[in-house]
Amino acid sequence: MINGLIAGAIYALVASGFSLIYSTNKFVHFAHGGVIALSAYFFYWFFSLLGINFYLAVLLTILFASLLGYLFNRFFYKPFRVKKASPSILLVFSIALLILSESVVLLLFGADVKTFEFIKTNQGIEIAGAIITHLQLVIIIVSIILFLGLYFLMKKTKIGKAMRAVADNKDVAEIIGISSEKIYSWSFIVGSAIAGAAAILIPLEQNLTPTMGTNLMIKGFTGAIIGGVQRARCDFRFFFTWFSGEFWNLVFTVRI
Amino acid sequence: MIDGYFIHLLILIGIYFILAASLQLPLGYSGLLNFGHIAFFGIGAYTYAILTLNGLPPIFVFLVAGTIAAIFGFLLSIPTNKLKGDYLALMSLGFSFVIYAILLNWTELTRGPLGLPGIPRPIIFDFVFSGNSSFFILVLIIAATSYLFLHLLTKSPFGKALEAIRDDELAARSLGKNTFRLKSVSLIISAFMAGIAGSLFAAYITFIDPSSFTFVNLIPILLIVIIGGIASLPGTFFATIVIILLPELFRFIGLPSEILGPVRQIFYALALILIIYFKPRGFYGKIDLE
Amino acid sequence: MLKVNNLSKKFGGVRAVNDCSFEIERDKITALIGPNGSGKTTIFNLISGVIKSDLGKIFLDNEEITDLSVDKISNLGISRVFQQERLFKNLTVAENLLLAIDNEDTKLWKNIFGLNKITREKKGKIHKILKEFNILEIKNKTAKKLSFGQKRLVELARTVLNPHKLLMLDEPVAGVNPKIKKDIAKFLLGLKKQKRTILLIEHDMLFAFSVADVIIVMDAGRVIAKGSPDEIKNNKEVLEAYLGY
Repeated sequence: MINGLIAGAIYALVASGFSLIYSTNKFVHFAHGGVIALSAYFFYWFFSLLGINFYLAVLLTILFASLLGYLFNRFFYKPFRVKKASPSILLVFSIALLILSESVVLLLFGADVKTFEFIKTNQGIEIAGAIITHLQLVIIIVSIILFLGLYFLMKKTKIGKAMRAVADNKDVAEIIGISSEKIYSWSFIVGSAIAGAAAILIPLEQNLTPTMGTNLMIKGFTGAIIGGVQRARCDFRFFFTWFSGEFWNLVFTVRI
Repeated sequence: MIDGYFIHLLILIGIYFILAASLQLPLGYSGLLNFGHIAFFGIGAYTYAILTLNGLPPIFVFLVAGTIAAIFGFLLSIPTNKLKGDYLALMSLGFSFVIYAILLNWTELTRGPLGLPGIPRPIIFDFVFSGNSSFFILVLIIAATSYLFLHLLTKSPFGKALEAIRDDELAARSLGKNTFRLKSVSLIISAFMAGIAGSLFAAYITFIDPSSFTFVNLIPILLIVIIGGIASLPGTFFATIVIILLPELFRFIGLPSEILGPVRQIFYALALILIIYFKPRGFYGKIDLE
Repeated sequence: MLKVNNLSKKFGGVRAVNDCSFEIERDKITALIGPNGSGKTTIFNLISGVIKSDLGKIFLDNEEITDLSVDKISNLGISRVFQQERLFKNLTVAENLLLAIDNEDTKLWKNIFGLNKITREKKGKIHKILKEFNILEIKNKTAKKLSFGQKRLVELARTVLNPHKLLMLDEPVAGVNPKIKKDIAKFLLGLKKQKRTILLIEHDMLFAFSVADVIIVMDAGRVIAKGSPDEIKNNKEVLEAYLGY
């Protein structure tokens, strides 16, 4: 049950970054899974293979993830947005990008499952009758911090409000002087940074496979459909619907 | 050896042609962004596999597989008929995810990730299509029939009515056409054909598992439809040949076989991105993507 | 022939149509005029089924058609031209027109077996109307390649070929050059002689007054005047509505 909670926290993390991007940009960015996969392997490479200091590797991974998301937007989505491509075309694109990302991972790292051995998983503390490891505690705390951070960002900061404005009504936002292109970039940077955080937590708690990105996107999407998402309104409401969808999804399909 | 390899490619071309051409009907002619098409392929494949493994006569099962896929096509059409294009894309994609999840998790029926091995080849009047050459003849006949059927359908006034829906659904309705029904019919027929293609696939490879039916496998199909040109059957035919044959070239330039898979995927993904950017009408099409 | 009773429609906070009632008589050309935002196109959309009303009823020959679907209403006899261009842009002119003539093209098996032939009669109808508009030469041209004026004519032709009791035209001459405008006016008057009922929305006053038998004036979502062109020309309320208070 604790495992379910942990997995749910991670999914929710993935979902919140994703829904930030979706509600601001108004199309489904499947390549989010690609960003996660590439970042997770990046972390693996830096930390496990190259032996770089843990905290430095974490920082670099998150920067890498943000950069990747930004680049995806700048060089793949933007040229098509400029050409007035419909969200469906962008959707197809994002699937292509996801496949590209995972193929690259497959080519560079091979298809086998990779794990991190550095954190001992058998030492745990007991809370309310269930055993929870230190790592799992860290994951929950980190997730909570990130959610709070995101909430704060969206509600209180100028950038956050600008993103919500563009999400609500792009044309009106532009009239009051918000550059939607800049906001799109920011949404990718922030959303992908959160993905980067997830990309670190997932291999620590579970493992790495080249198809992890696709699996996450499939699960998340199915969960969202089951959770009854039809339209995303404000990113926050969408996030909660997605999260509840994720929860149901977890209940249904733990084995995927 | 070369012969066997060549026949293998021809069979794949045949199966993929049926799959891609059947997608042209809702996507190219009716303007329905059906991104769930691969699910019908999977439903057809699994229906064929499960029923023939339980002893039912294969040729009969072909039709059953097509019909069951068609039923799912109908089921998909109900909630999506009233949706606008982009929501249809999302819903149909989600539909394919749900089907994939079922194929993967309903292990009592499908054995999940273990897949279904030992699928029997079809039999007509005691003749077993066990050899690939004979199987190719079967595929050829079915593919040719599909082409003919779609050609007759799309050139007829019914086909024009579908194209009217694609070009302007409201105008079509204001001329009295029941567009919901027409869209359903389009999806049902395309699902039926995809189901047949799935059965052929299952019968040919004789082993299937859910991984062949994820949305990732939609990319080459979409690529064929776009490269061939929206609403162009001849284009679809040539595009299928190109899309199946080109990645095979990678085999001959000395790449190790483990990386052929991802290389093929990269090829498909890049080709899709490039074609949409540079030549969105494809090579035979006259119609723009939206 | 067409009766609109107490129609109301709100969009968000705006009451586009507000307790609107009027009647259209057979075999006459009625023009619906009014300042921008008076609700004319909304009324059209309500009648033809594109949007659903909040309140009120619509009757065609005493049969209620409120809230029926667009295709059902079309098949009951209302044929409509839209304000924006709605041709089937990837089909030819002939194919556009053929779609209007009947609904045999929606019968799957009949069409697959080639039993739904394009008869000489249908070809004749298409030929005749294209000739009337003097655009025979574009018969096999793809719709997206036509000029604006040609598109408007084809759309009008398509709507007329669609079997109907009532023809609804939303600004049929907006943006067309004077020659085409005259052709369309002549065509409409010719239709009237053939005992057709026409309801049209027009901003071009000269055009409306020149073809219409009855003028209905709308303002702020309701009818404020109805009468012959002469009566309306001298109606104080109408002048106020157009010039502001």
